[in-house]
Amino acid sequence: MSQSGSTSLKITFSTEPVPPHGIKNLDTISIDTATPLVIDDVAAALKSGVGSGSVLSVEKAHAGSPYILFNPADTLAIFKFLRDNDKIRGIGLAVVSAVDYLDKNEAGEPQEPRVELVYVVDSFAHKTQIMLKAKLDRNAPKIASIAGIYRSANWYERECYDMVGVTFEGHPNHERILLPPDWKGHPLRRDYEFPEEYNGMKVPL
Amino acid sequence: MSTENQVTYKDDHFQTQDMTINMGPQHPSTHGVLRLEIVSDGEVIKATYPDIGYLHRCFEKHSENREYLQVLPFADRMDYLGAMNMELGFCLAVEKLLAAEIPVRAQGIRVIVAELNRIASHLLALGTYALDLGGFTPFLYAFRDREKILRMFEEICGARLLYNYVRPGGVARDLSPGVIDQIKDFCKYFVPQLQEIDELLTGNNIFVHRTANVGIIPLDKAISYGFSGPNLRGSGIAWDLRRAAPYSGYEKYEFDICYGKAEMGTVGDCWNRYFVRVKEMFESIKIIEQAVAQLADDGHMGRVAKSVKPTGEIYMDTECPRGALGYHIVADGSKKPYRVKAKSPSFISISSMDEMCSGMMLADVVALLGSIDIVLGEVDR
Repeated sequence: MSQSGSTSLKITFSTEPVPPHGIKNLDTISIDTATPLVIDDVAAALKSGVGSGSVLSVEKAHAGSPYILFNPADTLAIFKFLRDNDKIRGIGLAVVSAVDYLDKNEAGEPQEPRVELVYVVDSFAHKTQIMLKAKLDRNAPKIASIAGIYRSANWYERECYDMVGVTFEGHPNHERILLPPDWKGHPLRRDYEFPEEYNGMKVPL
Repeated sequence: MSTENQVTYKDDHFQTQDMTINMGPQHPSTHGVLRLEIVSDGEVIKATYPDIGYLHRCFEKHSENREYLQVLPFADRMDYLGAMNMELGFCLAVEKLLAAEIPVRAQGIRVIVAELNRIASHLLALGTYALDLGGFTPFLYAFRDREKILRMFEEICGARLLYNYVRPGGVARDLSPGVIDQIKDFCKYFVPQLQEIDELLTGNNIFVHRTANVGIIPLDKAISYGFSGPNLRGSGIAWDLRRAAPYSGYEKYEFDICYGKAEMGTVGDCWNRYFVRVKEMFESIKIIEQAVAQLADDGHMGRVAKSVKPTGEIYMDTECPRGALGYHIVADGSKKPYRVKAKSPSFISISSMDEMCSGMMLADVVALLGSIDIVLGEVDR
């Protein structure tokens, strides 16, 4: 969001073509005959297809959406597998979201300081959304970018960087998206302090 | 013949330069404060750089500091043209965390208001789209009928645009018998009116020439970009969350999923996206008529506390006028949500602008922007 036209051209959006994507046989998708996937089956397929170390655990005790906790080192292999596997067919990426956890929770009890990155993969052929999660180091959250696997990841990852400060390695255009490029800090960090002024303008609270 | 007057042309003499054009942020056809930096070679676009964030109002940060009930007015203000649907998605996600039971009547009322809101939103999309392309009459027709819906909303919940009506547990107020009659009358009144707008615009030669075969996005790219709602269906797939993952009792109602069939142009172009919206309004009327007929009388509010304290983590998306709006909510058992992330369908539609616009004529950008039907409040949140 820079002021002059020529400089912002370099920083806004990459025109690098995304490598061929494994979205095929779309005419076989039918909303009426689709059978939902079970998250345990997805985890088992990941373990056999990517490696037994890729899936750390399957969490489904809590209310809401069950999720697979995966090893951040295997990010690229996992999402490539989910997209291209003929049984899972996770061809769409619904969202990438990041959550920051301090060393103490709201009630003051100690907890593991971390940044959790949440991916939701859409499998149209199975009417299923698969939630996957990675735990990152809070001081320097870093993970491989999947913008080369799903085009939608490009902007979602930029938003996660902008708001929570996660670094996506290999992202084609790793810049802020909603906030101005010279903004300091990442507002959705739990220990974020609101600035009093920005470029000489008072920030209303 | 002397050679003195002859000019020797070098390559330098014919050099052309790319031009950077700034569209917006104050441009009537960007439907809000969106800035597009367009690099063009003459009339042909080489690259488009969308610049968003002008309307960023920190929805996610505000939600962390408010109780669940207090988040709803903020959710309204994301997509202010489909506010009922914004609230509904948030309430459904919270109710799922609470495992709350919602009365059948409340579910019916929610479906009615959500579909009325969808019609109002599509009418605005259609009217302003025609206006962008130079047709003035459909705009007036569309706004006349949208006004009738807004009047009904005013009677239902007291507000015309930002309702704060759907609440965790049900809806804020019951529908009065008078409003139910108004809704029934509206359904009878609206179908011929919509047919008239449809006849006026859909087959119009100028309109077809401006929209057909313009801004084509093939289905595989649409999925890779994460398109949803009418934009995805315009690319030719029968995919609707109201059928795929029914919520609020949508499984009880019969309706068709409308998708691009290329009656004109190519599947995935502007015309097909537009026509999906027109057909969808007829289906919405069908749903409303069924919902009104099946309205139960077991109350408009379930047994849910005013200050809810759910625990858990959920991602849930619902079919909003502009596509699948999803909420990722982390609830830690306190009064306030730990984290609320809203996935916005318009955000993702804009991200594909660069690819869709490349090689297009400059004047078609307006046709494309109108056809993906963005609301900048929802893009920037």
